Amino acid sequence: MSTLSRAALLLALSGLGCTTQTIPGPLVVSTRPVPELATGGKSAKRVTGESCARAVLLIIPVGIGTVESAYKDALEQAPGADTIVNYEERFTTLFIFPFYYEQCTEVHGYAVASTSAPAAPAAASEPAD
Amino acid sequence: MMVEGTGSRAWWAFAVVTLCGILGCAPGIGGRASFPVVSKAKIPDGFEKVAQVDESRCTHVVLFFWAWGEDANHEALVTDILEKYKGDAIAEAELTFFYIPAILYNQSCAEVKGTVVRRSSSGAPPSSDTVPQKEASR
Repeated sequence: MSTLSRAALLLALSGLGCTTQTIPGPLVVSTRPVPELATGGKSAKRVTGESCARAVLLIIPVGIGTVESAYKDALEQAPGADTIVNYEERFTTLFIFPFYYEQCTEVHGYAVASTSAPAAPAAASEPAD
Repeated sequence: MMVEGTGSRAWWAFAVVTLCGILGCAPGIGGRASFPVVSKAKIPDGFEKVAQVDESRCTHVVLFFWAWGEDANHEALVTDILEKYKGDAIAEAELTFFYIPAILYNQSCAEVKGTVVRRSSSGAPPSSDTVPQKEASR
């Protein structure tokens, strides 16, 4: 294989980027509080969701991390909740070259039921931290 | 010997490129954000539609040395959109992060599609939060 062909192959491979939706819509998002939609009242429960992408020996992927699954993980901790207020995304990385690579997405916030959600079960009515 | 050396280099190049691809598949890189509210619920009554938006911010890097563009960050993008249209929230939103993890040319883009909504003049925000909601810092 010529150098040019090899370079083209590498370029093509490295060009295989991924389109990733952080949280597929439809959703309501704002950088300002929207108290009409949801507030962090007494029923708000502090939740943390996590999803990790891992790779072994650089090329063996073990799991794909998505913010969507981290968001779901967080909401599952408060049944009936459909909204996270004071939402924060964080990322942690662990790389033990060349054996192990891990990147985790964490979602932190307070899970609450929005004003349009069905009545939330008792688990979502624990007092906020 | 030379063939072995070439093969070894090619293997390492492939491994590096594959790793870059894996990193590219890790969602959220560059999409770091904090929002006062992220909800899958419908926007309640009392808001009026202002505009349909489909905007993006991209960062470009060539050969690690040349870079241009804006911070590909959803929080900054949402802030810009709300300021531009004087809106209060984006409803029916879809936040996408696109990343091309190439070595020669690297591109990352944050995109926001949705409907900017604003409180109608009759709608006033209720108060009484136990968990104080903070505005995004950007």
